[in-house]
Amino acid sequence: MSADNINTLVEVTIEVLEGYAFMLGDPPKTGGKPVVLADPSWIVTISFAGSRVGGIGMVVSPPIARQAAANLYAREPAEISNDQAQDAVKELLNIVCGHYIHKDGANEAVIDFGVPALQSVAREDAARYVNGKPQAALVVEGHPLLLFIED
Amino acid sequence: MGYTILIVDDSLTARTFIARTLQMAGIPLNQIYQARNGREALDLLEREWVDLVFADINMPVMNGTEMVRCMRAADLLKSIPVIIVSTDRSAHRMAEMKEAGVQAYLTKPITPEDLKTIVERFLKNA
Repeated sequence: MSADNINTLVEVTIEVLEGYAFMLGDPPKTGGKPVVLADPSWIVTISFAGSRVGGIGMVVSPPIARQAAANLYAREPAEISNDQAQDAVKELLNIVCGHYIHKDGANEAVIDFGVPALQSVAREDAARYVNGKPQAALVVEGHPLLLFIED
Repeated sequence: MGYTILIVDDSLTARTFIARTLQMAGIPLNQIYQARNGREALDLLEREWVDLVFADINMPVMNGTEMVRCMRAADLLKSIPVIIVSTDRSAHRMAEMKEAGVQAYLTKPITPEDLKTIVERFLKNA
């Protein structure tokens, strides 16, 4: 079940990145080795409750968030503040969560979504945070993005 | 002459994206107001007239459902169309919002075509 869920999360994240933020996400070419996270990394999470309970999250590098914000605001990355970059990546996860919950036409699910939260942490702390959780990596514009599921 | 629109969402990114998408859709705009939650929106609506409101549901302080119920209970605000723009695609939530009095329900991410269709449907006689 977790494998199905993480595959669904990867699929919807790629769709949302492409359709909303105009960014392409691909599986990493690391030969099965874990991706190297950015230092610092931003951990973004959102929880949900109701007919499904849990949460999802992503570990992103600040440059990905800044590029996403630049695309969404129609500006250059250098013009994007930290607050705008953090808000953009939280909004992206919010949209990913909606797609993830209602994937495959599961529109009968009655869910209350939480508010996305973000923390900036050192690379080692990000790795510790996701340790043991179902997870999958993408490479977005050359930067690692790690998706994970919280139960 | 253009439309005056209020966008209510706790995410600056979402508000900016909707505003930009309205402009990309070629909709004639007079003014775009923004509010971070339902309370701020109601405060603004006490001072300013708008033709249409786009609102999220899940917001701190006052959510979209409460905001719409307050608007529908206020004589001066009850005729203003409200369009929900949410990540929640559940049939339950859509029914709840329709019962609260919203005119339409869009799911994020929205497109210029979505917005143009909606604005033309509700504002062509404004």
